[in-house]
Amino acid sequence: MLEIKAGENQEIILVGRFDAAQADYAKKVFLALDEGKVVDFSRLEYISSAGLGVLLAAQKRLSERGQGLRLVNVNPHIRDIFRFSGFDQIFEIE
Amino acid sequence: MKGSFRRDIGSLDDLVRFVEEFFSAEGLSPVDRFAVDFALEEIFTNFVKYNPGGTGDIDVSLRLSEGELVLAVADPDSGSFDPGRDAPEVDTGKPLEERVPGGLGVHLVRKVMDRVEYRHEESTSTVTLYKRLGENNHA
Repeated sequence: MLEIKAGENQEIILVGRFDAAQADYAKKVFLALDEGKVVDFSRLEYISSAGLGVLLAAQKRLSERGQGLRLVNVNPHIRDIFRFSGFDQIFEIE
Repeated sequence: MKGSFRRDIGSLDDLVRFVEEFFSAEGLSPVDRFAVDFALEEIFTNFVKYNPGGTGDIDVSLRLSEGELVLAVADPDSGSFDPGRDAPEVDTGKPLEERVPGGLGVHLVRKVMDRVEYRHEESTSTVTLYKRLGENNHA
């Protein structure tokens, strides 16, 4: 299960597991963004390639406006997945 | 440990519980869970996506063999789909504007697991994945 919440500073907070079953729900949120956002991964346990696809589509869309997603508090497992995907080069990750 | 799962993305929560039960029963470190969950989801969803005409459940088994975890995912009603041969190469060095969503699953499974084998026999496709436990710091 994945929850997508708004934080106190307008950041997006992801909670739970971002798998293929959650991709349609997440698309509705991420592809509706019209400005760059900080995305807090501290409570995200897991992401699969379906989740990566949603984030990539959002990043491509935002980059056309000169904006992007900044990912913070990414756990080591997820950080590895981003690195193996080359996504560490196309997202700002803290 | 063996299980059969409905050929549907909605089965993913059941797959997570299946892996959790196996790790708990065998007393395995949760540090290896991420890679196993990841590989299982990617192979399972590939069977669901690329074999839309398939009927019946998809079989999953987990076992330990000489310090390795062995995960097998079998589609008993499928044509031949060998992820090693049929999945396109992924260029992970491309810039953002040239990247397109999709196609990463098998590439990443090969990164998080140690070995991937494929077999097709009598209409059953089986992907068997191996991971040496306790050696990987992260994924």
